[in-house]
Amino acid sequence: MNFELTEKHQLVRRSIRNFAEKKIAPHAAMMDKEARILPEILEELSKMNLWGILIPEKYGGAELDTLSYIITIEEISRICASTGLTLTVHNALGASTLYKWGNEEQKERFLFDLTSGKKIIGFSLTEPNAGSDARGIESLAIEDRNYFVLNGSKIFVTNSEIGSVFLVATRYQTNDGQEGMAIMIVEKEMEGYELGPKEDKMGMRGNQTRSLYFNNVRVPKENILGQIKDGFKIAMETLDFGRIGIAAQALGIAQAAYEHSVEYSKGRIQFKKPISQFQGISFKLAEMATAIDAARLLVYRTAHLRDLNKNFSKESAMCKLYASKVARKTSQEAIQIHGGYGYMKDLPLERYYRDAKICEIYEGTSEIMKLIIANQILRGNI
Amino acid sequence: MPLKIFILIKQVPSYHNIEIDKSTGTIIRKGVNNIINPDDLFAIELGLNLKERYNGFVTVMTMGPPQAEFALRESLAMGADNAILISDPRFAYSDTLQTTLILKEAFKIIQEYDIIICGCQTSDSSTGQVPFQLSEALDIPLITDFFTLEIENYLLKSHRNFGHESQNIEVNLPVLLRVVSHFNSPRFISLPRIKTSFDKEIKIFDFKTFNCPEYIDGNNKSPTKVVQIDKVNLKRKNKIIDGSVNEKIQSLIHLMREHGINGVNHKKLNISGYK
Amino acid sequence: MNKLKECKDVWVFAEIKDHEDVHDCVLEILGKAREIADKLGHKLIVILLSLNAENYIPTIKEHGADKIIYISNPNLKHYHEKIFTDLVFNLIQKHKPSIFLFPSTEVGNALAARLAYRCHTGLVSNVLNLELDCQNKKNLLISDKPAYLGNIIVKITCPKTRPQMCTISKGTFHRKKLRKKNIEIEKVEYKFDLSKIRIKIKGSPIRKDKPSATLSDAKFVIGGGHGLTSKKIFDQVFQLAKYTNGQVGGTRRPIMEGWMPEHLQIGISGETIFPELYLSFGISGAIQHVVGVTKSKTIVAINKDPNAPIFKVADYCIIEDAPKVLNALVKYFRV
Repeated sequence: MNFELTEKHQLVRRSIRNFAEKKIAPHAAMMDKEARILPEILEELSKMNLWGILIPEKYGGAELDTLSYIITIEEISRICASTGLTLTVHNALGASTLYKWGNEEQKERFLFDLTSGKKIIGFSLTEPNAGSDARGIESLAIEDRNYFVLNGSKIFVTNSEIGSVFLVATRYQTNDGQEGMAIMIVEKEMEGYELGPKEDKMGMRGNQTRSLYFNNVRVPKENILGQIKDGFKIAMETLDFGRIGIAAQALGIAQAAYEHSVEYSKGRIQFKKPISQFQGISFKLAEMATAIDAARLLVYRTAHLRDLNKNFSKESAMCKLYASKVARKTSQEAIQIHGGYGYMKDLPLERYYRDAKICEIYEGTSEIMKLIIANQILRGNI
Repeated sequence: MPLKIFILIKQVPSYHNIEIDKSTGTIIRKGVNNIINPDDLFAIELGLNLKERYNGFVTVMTMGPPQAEFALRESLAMGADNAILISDPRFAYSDTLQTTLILKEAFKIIQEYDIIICGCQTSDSSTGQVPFQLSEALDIPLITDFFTLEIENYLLKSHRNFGHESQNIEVNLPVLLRVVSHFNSPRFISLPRIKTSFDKEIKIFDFKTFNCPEYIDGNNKSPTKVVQIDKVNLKRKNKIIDGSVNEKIQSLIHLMREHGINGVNHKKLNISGYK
Repeated sequence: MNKLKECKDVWVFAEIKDHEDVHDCVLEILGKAREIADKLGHKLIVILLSLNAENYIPTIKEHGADKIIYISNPNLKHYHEKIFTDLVFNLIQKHKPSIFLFPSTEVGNALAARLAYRCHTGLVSNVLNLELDCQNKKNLLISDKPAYLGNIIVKITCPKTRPQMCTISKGTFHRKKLRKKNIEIEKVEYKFDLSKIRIKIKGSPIRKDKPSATLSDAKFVIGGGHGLTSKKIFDQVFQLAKYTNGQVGGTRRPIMEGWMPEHLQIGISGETIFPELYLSFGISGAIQHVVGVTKSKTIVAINKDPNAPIFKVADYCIIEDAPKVLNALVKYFRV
């Protein structure tokens, strides 16, 4: 068991960190304030080939392993969690799912545009009446000759504003009465597709979240992902993988909050000493460092399991459960350490706190994570 | 024929707080990150840029201990085609003269080169001597302080500063180029390149490769010897001015006024006020 | 190269600045070189290569030289890497000096490096102090040199080869007027095969007139670095200087970006400053710049990166967004 990162992974971290600090950091506060991602940033992400991290080279991807992908999301999120979100949803929930479950024709049709960043992809499952209860979705696609006519709406869709391709989870009905859940590829040009208004969010504001409305959208049968009845399975496996990305986001946020706290406490003088010399503060730093390290090990181990092609459902739930909690607590303590200054928008601490919260909610709430872990344990995966 | 471009880089420690091991009188390097010397990044970027403009083949070369290989991987990931590590225990503790002699040996093996590019200084030893010494050793012209470079049929044309003149010059290759800091914007390493960079084989030149020349011996034959290393006591106050942005600004203004700095317009106002 | 016992005398290279006069730094070095020569019982010999070299002999005579060896020729109007190196190397080979000192300037560092290679000897550049180690009757020169971004001082000797060579930063030593008796003057005939020169100059070079350097005399200097991010923001450094009677200086990056003319560079390749107060905005503090500012009485550094090396050399550290602070100062002092 080697706990050190290989040189390749060290170089990934170093390169992405350098890029994020130089190209994204100057704009992070502004993207949060204006609640949008800058087109220039999208350009830069394309130049860095970050839209197809896990996709094979033959489709224009970087063909790197899960750990490299996780480190990338972590380092981007350390600077701007919203950008990290854009990337993780596109890479894991979108491109990788399409690659894994799509047939050759679909791969040819979509992957090149996705890996180049020409088209951005999202994954829409959640509906107004179906959050944790994913099976409760009401969107319905009814077979009509070579199409399925889709009606329904999706809420809180990440990448909705900048995305042009969506993997949509929908119930379906065939002519011969079969029913179930399917994943269908829906493109924004399709007639009947409508975008809802922008949500005004607490955090992750650089990634616009909107609703999608499907009004008799004719989805060609060629756009069904995998076997039509596999929709739920695809959704669950997709989220299993997506969770590690969210955990990586959380790691990045926690790391940023922690680093700021260390620097600030060394420089802030009160009662004639740097506040880092008071145990009240230094103990907080010790707790942060310990929690982040533990979270990181869990996240990296999960990524490693995926690379070994082993089952990682339990671990992905665990790492998201834990890392998201660490991010929330760390960013909260970081504000405390910064005192009044931490509360001001001049400093990024309050943004880290606002960004961290959603990590305990989306792509499966922490409560659902516990359900998943418990199910795994009781099924014998102790 | 592609232009044969060689870039000389050095791996240096990256840190702000240096500690000295009192028992050995050397810098503590354990647990410290190593990076490509910042000045060398501009050299790499120039080399890659020339490669793109003129169909070149870029080899990055460094002299250092085995861990310097990581700097070469970083350079390959930036886009270099090939990498050479010059490493041998006998090269350790080389000063600039020994370093130059070793590089000369390396170029004897390489034999054919059109352009060699260096950065200005290393962030550790900061001598800045190697480009000049290598120019002497290889007997090729060194061009520094250039604004523009054009190459046609192995003739280099450049607009450059030389002392207090700016000149247009022409010189036949091979040449040695020393690029100034911030001459360009070094490109980022993209993920696909990282993968391929680790697949490339790095050539190693050691003492045997050079046929063991007697005069190469970093530790024993470097003319300069370090007799002592001390942390600098700059005798500066290093006082941190704290507070909110406004408080800091007020403190600074107060400091400036203490030094007798007032707005010139303040004075004018006073004078006209008395009239 | 040369047998140690045969080598003697302390040499100083007299760089001529701008065809005007002997470089200030050279006159400072002569002060210290005189001291070293006296301790060693050697002669202090100045090496002068220039157009109309005779013009500079009176100044050199006033600063402690025992002997001046000079070559005068129109081709020596400017430093040339081939011509100067060849000529000075010939002199070294002929006379075998024990010590050879140069100013730490663009010319001094370049020439010294080339000569050190040809002599296969050691060179210590940007020296901050020189001492003689009189133990063991070796009388070695010990040079102090900054390293690791200026955090470390390294003491270096050159025990086995000659000459022992150094380049010395401006402001390290002090000029001392002293006229020795019976100063020897040796004129060497200029001889150089111009066909050896490979770099061809096309057309007429444009002389860049360097305005008189007010930076080194300035009592209040405001420096700007690339933390100021744009020309518009950097312009405020000029504005602040205007409103406060300060002088503007800066690092390499603002020059490369076109925010500031070259002659305002502070550091190894530029000016050394000696103000009462130096404010640096958005300067990281690389050694190339810092060596030019350490003679300031008070240094205030403003930079948003708490790890910036400039804070080590500052008396007052303001960890803050430099453009913000600069803007506020301009507003205040404008009124």
